[in-house]
Amino acid sequence: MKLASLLESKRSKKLAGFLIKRRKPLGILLYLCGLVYLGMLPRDEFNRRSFVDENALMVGLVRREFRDSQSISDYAEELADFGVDQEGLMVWLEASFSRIGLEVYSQNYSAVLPAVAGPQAASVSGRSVYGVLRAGRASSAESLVFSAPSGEAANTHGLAVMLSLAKYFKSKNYWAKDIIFLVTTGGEIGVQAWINSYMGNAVKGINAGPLPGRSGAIQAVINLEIDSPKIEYARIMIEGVNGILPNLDLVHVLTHLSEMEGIPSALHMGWEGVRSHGRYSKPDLSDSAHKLYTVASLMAHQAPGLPLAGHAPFLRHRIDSVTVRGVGSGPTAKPLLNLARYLAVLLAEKTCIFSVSSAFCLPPGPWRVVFEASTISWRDSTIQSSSTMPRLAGDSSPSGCSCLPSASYWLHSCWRAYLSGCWQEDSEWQLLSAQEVVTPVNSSCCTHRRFHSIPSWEWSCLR
Amino acid sequence: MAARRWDWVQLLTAVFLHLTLPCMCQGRAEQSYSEALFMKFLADGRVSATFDFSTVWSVHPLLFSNPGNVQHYGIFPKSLAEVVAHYHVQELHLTLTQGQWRTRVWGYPAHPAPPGAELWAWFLPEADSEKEWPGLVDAMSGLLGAHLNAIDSASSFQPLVSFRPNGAILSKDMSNSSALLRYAALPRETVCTENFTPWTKLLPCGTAAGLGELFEAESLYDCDYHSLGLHFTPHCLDDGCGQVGVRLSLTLTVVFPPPVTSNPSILEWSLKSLFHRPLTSACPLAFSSTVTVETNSIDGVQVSLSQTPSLTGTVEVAGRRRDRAVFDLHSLTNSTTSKPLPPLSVSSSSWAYHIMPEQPELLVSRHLVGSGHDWGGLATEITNSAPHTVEVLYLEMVPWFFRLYLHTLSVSQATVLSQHYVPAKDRRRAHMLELRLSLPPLSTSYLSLQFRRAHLKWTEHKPDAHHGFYINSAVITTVLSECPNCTSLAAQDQDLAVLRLYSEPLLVSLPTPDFSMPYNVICFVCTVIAIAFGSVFNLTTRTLQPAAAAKEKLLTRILRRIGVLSKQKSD
Repeated sequence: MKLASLLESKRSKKLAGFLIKRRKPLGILLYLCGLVYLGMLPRDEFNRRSFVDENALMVGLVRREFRDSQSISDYAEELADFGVDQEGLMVWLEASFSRIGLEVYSQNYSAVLPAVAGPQAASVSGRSVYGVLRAGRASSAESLVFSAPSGEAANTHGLAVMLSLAKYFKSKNYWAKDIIFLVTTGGEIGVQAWINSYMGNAVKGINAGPLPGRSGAIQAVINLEIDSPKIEYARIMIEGVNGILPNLDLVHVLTHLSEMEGIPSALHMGWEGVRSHGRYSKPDLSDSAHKLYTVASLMAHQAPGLPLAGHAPFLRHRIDSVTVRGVGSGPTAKPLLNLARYLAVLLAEKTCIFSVSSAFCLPPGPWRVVFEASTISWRDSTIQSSSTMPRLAGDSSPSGCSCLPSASYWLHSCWRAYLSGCWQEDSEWQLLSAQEVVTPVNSSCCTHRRFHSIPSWEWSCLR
Repeated sequence: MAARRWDWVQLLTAVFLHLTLPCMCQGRAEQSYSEALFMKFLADGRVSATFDFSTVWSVHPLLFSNPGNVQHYGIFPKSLAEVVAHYHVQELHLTLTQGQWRTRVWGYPAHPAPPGAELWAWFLPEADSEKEWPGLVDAMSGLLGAHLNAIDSASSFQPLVSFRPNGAILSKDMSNSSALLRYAALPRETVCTENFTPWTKLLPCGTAAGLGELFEAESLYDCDYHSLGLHFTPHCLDDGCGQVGVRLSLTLTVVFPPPVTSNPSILEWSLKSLFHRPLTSACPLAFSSTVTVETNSIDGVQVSLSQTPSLTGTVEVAGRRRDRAVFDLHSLTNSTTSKPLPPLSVSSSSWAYHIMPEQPELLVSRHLVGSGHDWGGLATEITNSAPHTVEVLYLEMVPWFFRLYLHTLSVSQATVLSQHYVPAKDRRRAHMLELRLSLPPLSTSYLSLQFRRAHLKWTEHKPDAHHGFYINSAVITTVLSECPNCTSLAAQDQDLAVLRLYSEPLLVSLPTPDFSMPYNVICFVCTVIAIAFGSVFNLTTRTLQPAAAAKEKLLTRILRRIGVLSKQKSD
């Protein structure tokens, strides 16, 4: 009997007839299966523990030596005087940056907002101030951006942390990349105007002035938003315009360092919604409900593709960026010094290493990832239409996979699990992550503990 | 008998001396060596230290190029002399630099250099430069421990007018051709002690005496800018250039961070505090060994010296007086033999970070335009703040994997007087664009040029491929009549006639392939072969025979399988 006749056999015909007849209920059943699976993805059994992809990036090796909490509070006090006087604030910032010893520049912009809110198109204008810290031994070919928005929402403490870090960074000479301290007004429009001028891309509706000073290719952006003198936890916001996400390593390092400083980090909204109803509780990261919530809110924020915070416009230009938002002032809140210290370490690490890692989708919490898109990646076709071809798979670097909830997750993850046999792997990782949850500060896994034991090892990248 | 033997010995000695001395004298007497250190405050409070060790030798360059003619090198480094002779080099310039010279704040550099490594050489007229260049590159990379061997034909250039010989010109033919010139730069090169140590070995006194005593790698590399230079040029020995010799100038420029004190408005440095080493002697081989300090570099800031200089003087540079104090190390060390020099310390008062200097006349800055992995652009800004028109040469060198579109070249403000463009050939030659521009007074000119990124083969990517590729610094060359912002020691220095400004190098990311693809493909193919091919192959090749026995019903079969019915078929 040959293959053809086998397929035409009576039994196959029967099966095909059955499938065709019941296609609707079967389809609905499979879809429901997909949804159920999607709901189960945040559980640790169904996702993998993630790792830092870049071997050279040894997290936490830099000595944590920033101790100047006095300057944070001094700056915060001076900043508080300005209130709503944005122009006064900008002038004062320019003076402060230049006192610290940075090259100070500013950019004017104006934008015409589409007529959504009222009958007439609204016009906004503003000024952004930025100071450039030139890395002594580097050639200005690369830079990092440390940004803090000013304006609508009070960001007094974010600016204070930025200024005192700028002062501290100036005293160090291990920088291998320039650091740009950027203060924008007018929300995302100010950031958009700045980055568009920087990249030489004009956008309709925004009239961005020229940038008098520049540095090289931007490798990473940290956007800082803090409105209280103490923080309960750090919310790390990752979604960019059109759902593009940053490099996974950046998020990992950020999470790990904040844990080292005793500041829990939540990947998404955390329990803010709950808190607003008066039942605030510290986010318990092991809680699977919280993880489900995180995944759901990630999807919800990626799907509309709107910018959420000041880091979003950078992602459009393939620049890794995240927003760190300090939240809460409860009884267990830590002073801003801890946050500033870990940001100092983060930038010291990013200055030395250009890190690449797989694109990723839907992290249900720190150090967990549903997919590393090393074989599969969804990306935004409108932005990278011309460039997707050679970078389709296993893409690294600033990247984007914009994940929308669909049943195809289910198929792909099953396929991947089948290929890599990650079911066994997961059970091992599970042990590690259980330890991590019990003592979140000092033992995320054994390799990291090793780094803790050599705290005085000075990081020096060029020697 | 004894007296007779003594005569013989005397005679032999005399003959020996007679034969050898002239050669030795010829080698030594015509060499002169001088060392100089020039220190000044830069406008942002940083301190620049410029070392210049130069040896002049009265051997004609053509004679020099033949190894048989020169046997005694004296204080001239033999290792370098042999390289120069073997590859028929007329002029050689090598710089190894860490950091970018901030012209806007620091003024023009004494020895301009792009970040990374730069090597350019003029070959002697009879040399085959095509053949000699790769050898010279390898030899220099061995001599200074630099990664120069990364220079290949795709990163070597022959600029038509930007890099003319610095020294004496030996033949008139070469003045309008660049066939004998090769230029290459490696912006990615990092400079460290492995380059510095071999460089110090070229100094006649090494680090044992003289200004070399100050060299300690830790302090020299813990600074904001560091540039090593090696310049070998034919040199005019008299005013009319009737006699030509060779000159080797070894330069080192270091910029130290502002030496702040507990009082923020007072800056104070001493040689010991900057270099972590004392200066105890002058190099005995040097006919001049000096430390010069400029005392009025920053306007409105008073500088005081802890020690009385051997000589003070004022140099008039472009209508501005520059006070300089010179310390002659020979005279200082003669009086106090084997004692360290009194520590020279320099302090300044009323200094503040926000004193912005007067901007130099000519500035260049370049940046990248566009994001994504397809199109991109180079945008260059050249500012001329002089009240007169300035003519400059603009040189842009772009690797072949950026496909440059010349029709997108746009120049605003400036006028293009002439243009020389060499298009790239894949993997063999890079793009080179040389423009002669006339910059109107008090203007900022913009140049822009667009390119597309090519796809490289996956083996052509460098390690750390996601980091991106560098584009050489653009070079602006001009002749300045006046130089108010120069850092150099001598106002009438010949090198100053030609001013070179280097823009920032650019880091551009190229589309990178997935380097784990081979692994993925192997995994995938193996799975496909194992699952699909195996079963299909099995199905299509095997002949299936229908079973003789009649078919049983499904239920009967299941029951038989689970053992309810007996295993034997009932007949």
